[in-house]
Amino acid sequence: MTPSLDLRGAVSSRRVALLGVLALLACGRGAWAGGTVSASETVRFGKREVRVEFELFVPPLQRLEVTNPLLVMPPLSAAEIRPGAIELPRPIGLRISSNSPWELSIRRGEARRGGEEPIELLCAPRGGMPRELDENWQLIARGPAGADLGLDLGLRVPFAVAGVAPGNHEISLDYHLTSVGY
Amino acid sequence: MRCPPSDRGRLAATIIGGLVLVSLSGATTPVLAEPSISVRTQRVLLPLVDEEDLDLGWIETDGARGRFACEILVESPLEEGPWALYVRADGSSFTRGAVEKPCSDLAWKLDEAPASAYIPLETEDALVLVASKGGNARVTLDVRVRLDWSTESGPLGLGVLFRVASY
Repeated sequence: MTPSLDLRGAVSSRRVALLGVLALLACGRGAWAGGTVSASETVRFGKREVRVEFELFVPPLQRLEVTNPLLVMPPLSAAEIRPGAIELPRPIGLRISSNSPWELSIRRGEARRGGEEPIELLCAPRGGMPRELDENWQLIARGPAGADLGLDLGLRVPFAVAGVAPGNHEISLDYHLTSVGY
Repeated sequence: MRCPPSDRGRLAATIIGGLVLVSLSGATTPVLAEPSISVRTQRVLLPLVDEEDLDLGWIETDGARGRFACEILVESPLEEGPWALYVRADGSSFTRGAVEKPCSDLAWKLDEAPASAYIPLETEDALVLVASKGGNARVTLDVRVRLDWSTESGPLGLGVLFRVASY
């Protein structure tokens, strides 16, 4: 027995079904793309959350302050000179701020006045080994990061056997503070 | 009892047609549109840190000249209800940098608010503002990052998430 098909009814049904599917797809696509509020108005659904990246850079920073930039030695007597060296009565007070480990170097600056031969000068942090200062940078101290770190530098002036020429002697110092590792 | 093929086709057509009608009738029901959010820039670079910033204890965008760190645009249809803007950190600490720096070291405030209004950023949502009704809005924020001489040299970065929702 040959099966009979009602092609007219089937085609009609398929057409309606196809239209229905297309309509559903259209509605679904509309809802996915932007949402349907009414037949005549469409509202886009945008982002509800956004991310913003905040960035900054902290460079290695140091600050050096000399709390007593001028030290004056009172006139020296023979008794003071006789031991071979004198200490300045006050140390040089330094205040260091650094956001990274630091190193401090010192050298003698230009002697503005005085005899032809500059007098010697030894420098040491409190409790440290004295070092003779000349025109080359000498590493004097190092330390960790921090703010307002105090550093006292004692100064000693040794006298040679021949003594030191009479007169006023002025010595200037150059300081060099650097961060370590940068 | 079995239906003939022609009846099955009609039945299917009827069901699908009904679905279409239901779908179309549903489309006429108003659907509340959620507000949306966008930003002008997704990467904000704060000024280069200097000694004064380390002495002050923070760095911020320059409020004196009317600058702001971040501009957020909220879009919401006028006919919609109130909405709220929230902010939170995208992590408990800064993602870049040699040391652990908590996200609360970054504080925020509305651009026009006084400096006392800075609020440390947390990983939980914090309410930035509430709009009492629908409508677009432009929100500008200032940002301040806590720093001092113990803040090691190097880059620092933190992701911040802004979220808008019906209120």
